[in-house]
Amino acid sequence: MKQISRIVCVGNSLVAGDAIGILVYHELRSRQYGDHIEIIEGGLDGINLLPWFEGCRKIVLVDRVIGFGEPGAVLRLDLDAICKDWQEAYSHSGGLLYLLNSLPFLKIEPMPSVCMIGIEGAGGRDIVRRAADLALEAVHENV
Amino acid sequence: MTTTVYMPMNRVEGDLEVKVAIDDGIVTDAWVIGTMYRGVEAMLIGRGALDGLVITPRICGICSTSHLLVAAMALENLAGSPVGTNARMVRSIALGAEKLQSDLRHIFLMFAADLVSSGYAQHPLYLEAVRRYQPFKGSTVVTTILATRKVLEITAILGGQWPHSSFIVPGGITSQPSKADLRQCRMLLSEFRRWYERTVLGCSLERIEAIKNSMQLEEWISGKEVHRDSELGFFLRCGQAFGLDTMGRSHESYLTAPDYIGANEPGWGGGGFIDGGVLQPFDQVRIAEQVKHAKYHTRSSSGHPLATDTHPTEQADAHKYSWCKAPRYNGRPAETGPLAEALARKDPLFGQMIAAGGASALTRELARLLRPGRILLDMEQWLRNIDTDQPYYHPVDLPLDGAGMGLIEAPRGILGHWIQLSGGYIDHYQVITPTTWNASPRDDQDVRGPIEEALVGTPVRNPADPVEVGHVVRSFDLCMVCSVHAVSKKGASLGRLRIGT
Repeated sequence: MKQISRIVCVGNSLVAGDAIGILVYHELRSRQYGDHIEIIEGGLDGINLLPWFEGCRKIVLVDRVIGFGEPGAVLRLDLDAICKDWQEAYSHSGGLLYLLNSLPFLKIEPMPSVCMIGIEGAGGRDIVRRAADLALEAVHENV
Repeated sequence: MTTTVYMPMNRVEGDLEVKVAIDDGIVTDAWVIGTMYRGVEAMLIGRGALDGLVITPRICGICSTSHLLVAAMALENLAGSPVGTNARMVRSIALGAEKLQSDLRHIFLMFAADLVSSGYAQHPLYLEAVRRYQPFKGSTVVTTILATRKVLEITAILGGQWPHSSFIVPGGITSQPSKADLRQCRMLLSEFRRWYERTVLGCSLERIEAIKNSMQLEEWISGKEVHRDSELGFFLRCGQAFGLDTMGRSHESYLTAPDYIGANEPGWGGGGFIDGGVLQPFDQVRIAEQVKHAKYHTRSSSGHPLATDTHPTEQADAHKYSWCKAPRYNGRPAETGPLAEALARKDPLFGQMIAAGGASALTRELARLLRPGRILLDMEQWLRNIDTDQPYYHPVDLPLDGAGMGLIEAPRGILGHWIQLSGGYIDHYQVITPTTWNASPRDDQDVRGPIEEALVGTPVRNPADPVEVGHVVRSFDLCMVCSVHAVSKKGASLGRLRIGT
């Protein structure tokens, strides 16, 4: 039996500038992606996303990012790179970055491979499709 | 000489800036500044009556159950429709789960992070504080993340979905938890209780409940090594050693919402306003928002939440410094949260502590640290009392026109939604969150908001690193939402681009 992998799309559907993760979620849901892959709408959750990191081989996060490239860029970031840049980054309840920085210390078994598809700018239709392509490509890769 | 320090607050949800004037190492004045406009109310105008159930939970990624619940209660209040016992208990359990995770994460992940500030490096307790509270990897941090992760599964089981549960609707809940579901919830709760008693308290809930005053609390700490070294014991020792019990006294007026949903008797559930040590019954008509110092049009934006709009000013006068309004009860500022809740409940320990010396940053956190004990006992009782043979939902005939309100005690204090429908559409919507009470600017009489008042008198050893200001502000567990959930490579400390309050 194949192990589950998950794509977790993060963002705020009510704020145009931060909705792109959710748009990618809807794009992915309209595609064929295989029954060993789960697509999750992570919304604004941070540490509360932890259960989705358990019992799977791979997590691909999809979120808007700032400062990595020109608007419209869609990038793949690995967990080590994310944590290296954002040691101080967390909100009062422990946001997503707090969770990512804590992951190595939580002793999750098995520890999933984690990467992020980061999207620069609010995005458009083509960018949503490109981010969805990259997310599926990443989730299908061998760990 | 007076030094003015601007302090952007990280680890506070959304945008907040605190400005303090420091004279000879003491804060002499303070301004709490909400830096961004929230605007959720404006978004709701003209939408369908039920849209608040979908939109307002997105106000906050932490308290989404609280907003969902209050939005449903406002519509039930408008319809004059009571809610069945089963639904009230399931709702209360979900709200309890939200409070459990919020309280403990705030204390150990966010508040305690300041206790490892380099300013305390010479203190004998410092190394142990680092071992426990170091961000991401401290022993207490890790165990708190893992324990609170499990408790939210209760909401997933009861609501049938997590995250973004939307199972609370006018008339009850849409799910039908079975006996097996409730059994699973009881198991999860038992697991959490075991962790809370063994690790956080170092003793049973009953033993903690037997503590009635600060002398007995000191005796409890010194009585056994397991108490002294528990999370509660160490946090208290650390807090006292670092002087957290000597800073943060505010107006000594407290506001708590009635517990309509948890009450056995619908329509009454305690709560109230405490001023001058006297508890007055709660009456929501005494709530009014004031905007002399908030960046809104004074004429249309002041008054009771059902009678006022939220109209931002394009060019605010210089004395308008915050995007938070200033809610007042009976014209008075009031702090809200677990400490206010304990006082309204006439908890003897906190009653004695406040009577003896007033509130402090440490008292507020202690109230937050002990609240899970009472919540756990309540949740256990509700889980036992749900009768799966009885309905979880009754249809509600929602009128096309009318007004209603919902009020609960959310994780950070009193949360209210006020709604007015016209022809089946939302004509008016107002939300007052707990943080709006606590982080309010000065009011129409120029009286400081609760946090501003609490900051005055705070000693600051190093204005370049005013960690004491952080202790006082964070003791209110602010939540200035909504957050735009983006990450910035160059952002110095904030993990999100924010559009809060």
